[in-house]
Amino acid sequence: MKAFKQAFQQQHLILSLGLGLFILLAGSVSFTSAWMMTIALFLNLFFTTSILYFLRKQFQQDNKWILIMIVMASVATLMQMFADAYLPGWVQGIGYLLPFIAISGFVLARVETVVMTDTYSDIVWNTFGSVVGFAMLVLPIGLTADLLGLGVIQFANPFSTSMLIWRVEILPEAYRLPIFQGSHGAIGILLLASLWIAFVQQWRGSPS
Amino acid sequence: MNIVNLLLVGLIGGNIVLTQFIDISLLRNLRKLDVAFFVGLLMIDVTLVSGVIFFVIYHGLLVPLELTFLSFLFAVFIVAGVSEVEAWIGKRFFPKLFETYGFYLPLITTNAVITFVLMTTIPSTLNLGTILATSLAVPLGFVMINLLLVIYQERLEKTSRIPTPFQGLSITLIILALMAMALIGLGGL
Repeated sequence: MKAFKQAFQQQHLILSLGLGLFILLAGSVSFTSAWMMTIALFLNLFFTTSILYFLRKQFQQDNKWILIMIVMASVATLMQMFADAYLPGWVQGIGYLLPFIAISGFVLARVETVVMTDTYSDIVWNTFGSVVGFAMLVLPIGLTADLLGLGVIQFANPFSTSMLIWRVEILPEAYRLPIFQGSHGAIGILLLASLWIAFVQQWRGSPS
Repeated sequence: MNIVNLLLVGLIGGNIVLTQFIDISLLRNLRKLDVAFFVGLLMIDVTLVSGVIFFVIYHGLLVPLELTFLSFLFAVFIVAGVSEVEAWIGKRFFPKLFETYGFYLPLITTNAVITFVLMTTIPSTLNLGTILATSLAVPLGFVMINLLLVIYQERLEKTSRIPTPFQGLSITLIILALMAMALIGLGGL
């Protein structure tokens, strides 16, 4: 539990360590991609750190990084293959981003610290803490982006290509903001992320 | 699309840092102008070399053998291999430069900009000219944003008092949003 708290607070991947901003912003495009990205991050962190934990006795200064790269890339490739075969909705949502989670710095940061020194249960708790910390940022931004850009709150099914489980329309078309839509969407996401991060920093009491 | 168009898209209209947020975290680690410039040059160099190698392996080996599902593994290894060779060259022939900037080499090995070019451009084209132009334009777009961001931040630190909650990551994102707005405006030209 201490590992969970540490990963969630002092070692928050984005706010304290400045890692994974890319997957935070790419996942914040909509609520659907936000929760799919959260699941992808959890699976990626869990499998990679678990495999690396069991391999850590084989690490030597000469082969360490190459082993880490092999495991990271293999987990990402297997996840991509599994998603292609069984989770078409997931692939449609964030498919091309799946491999990039592996090289986003999340895993590398964990390898140097947690994986090399902690017990397995601490590593699992740390993974949970990291993912909850990530979800705390990505889900509200994704939800607000959907609301302001499309005027809806919607939730998609990763097991189906028809995607939507439910959808509630809230804002009429005239009130929807174009800076959250299409190619201009990046502007809105960056501003929204900035505001939400400022709010969370104020709440935590320390700038990132 | 001709090469000039590809360069302009990579730099302005389709700048991957501002449209797809690729490797946006790296911008926060390169806060000095000289470091940003050097890492940028290294990134362009590694992208061009690994782009050509991946092009040959992808279309010459992975596609004929129907092993395209392994393209990410190959991309990661090619980038890591090219970075290692560059590190060796740096250590051997430019020891002073390596001593100052060698610390930043691991940032190149796991660089999403390079992997993004390899994974998205090369599978979709058989034209080497297009690949070379994209491999040049995309990292150049990253370098441009990085240099502008460093200059803006230096100026902000000297001239403004940023409210505490907005310090650090938050103000960086606001600057990037303003840049995205400006580039989208220019993209219309």
